[in-house]
Amino acid sequence: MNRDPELETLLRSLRPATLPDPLQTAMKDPPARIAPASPRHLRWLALPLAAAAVWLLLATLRHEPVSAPASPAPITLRQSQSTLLDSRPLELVRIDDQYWELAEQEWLDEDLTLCSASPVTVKLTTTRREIVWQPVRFD
Amino acid sequence: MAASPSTSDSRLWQAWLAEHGQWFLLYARQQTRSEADAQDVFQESLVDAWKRASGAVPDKALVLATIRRRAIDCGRSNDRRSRRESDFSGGSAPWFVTDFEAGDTRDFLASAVRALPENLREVLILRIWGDMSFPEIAVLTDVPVPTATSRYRYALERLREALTELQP
Repeated sequence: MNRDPELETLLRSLRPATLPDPLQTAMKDPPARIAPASPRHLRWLALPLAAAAVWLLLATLRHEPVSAPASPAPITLRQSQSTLLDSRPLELVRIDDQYWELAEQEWLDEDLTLCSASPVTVKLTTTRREIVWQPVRFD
Repeated sequence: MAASPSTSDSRLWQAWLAEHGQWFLLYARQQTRSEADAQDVFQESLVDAWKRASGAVPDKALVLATIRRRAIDCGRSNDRRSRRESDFSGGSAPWFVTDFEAGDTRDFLASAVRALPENLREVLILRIWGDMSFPEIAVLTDVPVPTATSRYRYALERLREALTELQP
């Protein structure tokens, strides 16, 4: 905004009054700065802190541990179960008057683990395929 | 923990005071109602800002904000009232350098600036002698930017009217 440049120039030509002598004298020297905490100051803290740490360590080592009541060993239960999902015959073979069937089977393996020390129940489920020979019976 | 001032710090202080001291005092004068209060606020604010600026020159806006806050506190203080009133009766220091060669216009203008309403005068001083932008002035005086620009415009209009009356 520069609505009245002539007047603004005239205003700027007015110079603020100088500091009165008593004020200049009072403010001759700069005030002391507030120094921030520097590493040099922290160095003085290092020795007491180190001594306290050593003392705490020694006190801990010399302290005989109180035998805490033995907590019962956690009980782990594991349950495994396999379920045949599918069986696909691949071939029928006769060996010494015994017929054998070659089959591809699909199984579902479920493994459930519970532990008394933990509320978490772990359940592993896997699917596996395998080729098996099984005798064929004609009942 | 206070550190004793070094020679370089002393030079920095003197240079800072020489460059900005006059107009900081002008702002303190416009914020207070007596010369004694103005000098107190000025000195306390500059010392406070200097101490807090770790090893550097204090930010201009910080100094002005400190002056403003201290001036408000000072204005609220009851024990300063009697001092202020007595100071008024004895007159107060000039705000601007008297230039006898410049003629009546400048003296008249200086008086007109001083006679402006406080809110207009504050914006004018910050803009003309503080060389601050309107957004900066708005932040400092806690008003919207359009308000700051309007106040500046009104201040100039009033001064222009006053000068028109002076001229035959």
